[in-house]
Amino acid sequence: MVTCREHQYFEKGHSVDLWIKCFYSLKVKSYDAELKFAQKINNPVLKIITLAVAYEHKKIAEILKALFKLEETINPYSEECKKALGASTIEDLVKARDLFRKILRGEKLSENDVNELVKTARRLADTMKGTFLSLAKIAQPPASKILMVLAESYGVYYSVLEKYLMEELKSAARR
Amino acid sequence: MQHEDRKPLNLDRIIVGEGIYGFLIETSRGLNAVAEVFKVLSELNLILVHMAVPEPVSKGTKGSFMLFLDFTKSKMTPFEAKNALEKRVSGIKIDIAEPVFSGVTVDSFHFPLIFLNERAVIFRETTLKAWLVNMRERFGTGGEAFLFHEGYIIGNSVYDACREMCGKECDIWTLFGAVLFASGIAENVSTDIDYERIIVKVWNNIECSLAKTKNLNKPFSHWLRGILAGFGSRYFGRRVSAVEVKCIAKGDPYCEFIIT
Repeated sequence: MVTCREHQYFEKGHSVDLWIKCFYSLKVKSYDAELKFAQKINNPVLKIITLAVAYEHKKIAEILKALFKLEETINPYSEECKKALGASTIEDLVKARDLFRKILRGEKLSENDVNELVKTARRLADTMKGTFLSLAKIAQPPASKILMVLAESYGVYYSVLEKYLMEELKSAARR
Repeated sequence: MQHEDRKPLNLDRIIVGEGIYGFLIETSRGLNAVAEVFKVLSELNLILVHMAVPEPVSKGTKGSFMLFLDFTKSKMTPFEAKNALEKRVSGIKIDIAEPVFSGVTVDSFHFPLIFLNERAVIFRETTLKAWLVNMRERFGTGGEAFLFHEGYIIGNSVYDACREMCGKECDIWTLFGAVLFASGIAENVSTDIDYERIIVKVWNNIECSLAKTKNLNKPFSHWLRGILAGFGSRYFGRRVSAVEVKCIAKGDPYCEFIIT
């Protein structure tokens, strides 16, 4: 059982401690998963995009680790983490993971699958950006500034990435 | 006044029931005409379902008032009643809101809704639940932070509105409690203020009452907590924190916040 406590970088009354641990653990797990996934992909563009996504997860995980002095990871899919991260994030992750697994199994993604994957990834990115921004508003420096930087850089990064991800998945679906 | 002595106030802009008609009555004779209209309604044996006074009516001035009348037991049609009223009460003009379809009548004469001189809207509990409860289920800690931040901005603006109403010589926290009460957010608010700290007790606030069935073991409020922090920050002239230490969502009789 992970307890939900206040954190020194956040205003009194906010229990952000659990979110920090869950989100950090999720980023570590996502990095591992994306890296493994990238190694199995043959399509060179998709491989690079997946690697870029993996290292984005890693970057965020390392920043959180340094900022909040984190050591251990916990299970980000636990009930407690589901509450802290929000059902929306977990459901979208599961949906994206299932579609990625379909690619790994060599199944061809339909145009609908591609649209769904891109939409889900966009929603995840927006949720993450929104969460960073909301938490930045109740945090104190340096956490407030670092969360703001993460929100802004993630938004820009994902917009660029999405264009190429969509193009590549769509052309793969047509091939 | 005690909780059990209070009655709910139905805002009834939309009335569900057969045979209900809205009567918008404009008068140039002020309260005298109002009194005569009610006398005639009583003689016609009509049932008054709801009443609103969108424009002030005083003695001998122009004004208007809106009635919803039940015609299910009346021998008169609404149009016969309108004619009878206009004939027997001088200086009035009546417009009728007919049911939009069988069993549903809407006040189609008044828009927008106004509360404390600003446009307002009515949200029912189901909508509020989607906003104040489902938001955090969908977005977790980020959703809670969002609600707090939203509340904080509201608290700032409520303080400004209260300050404007108050002038210099009034207890702004009492007025704040009155605004929360009048807007339906909380039934009662009490404050204990010392030099740098305020303890606020809030009874029956909407946010936490929505979570009463959840069997929680920690305080629930983030939106109202944000409002208190925003209001308190303006009051003290510095950024304050508001911590909820008691909560009706976890079985306490009221919610208690400490602002420091």
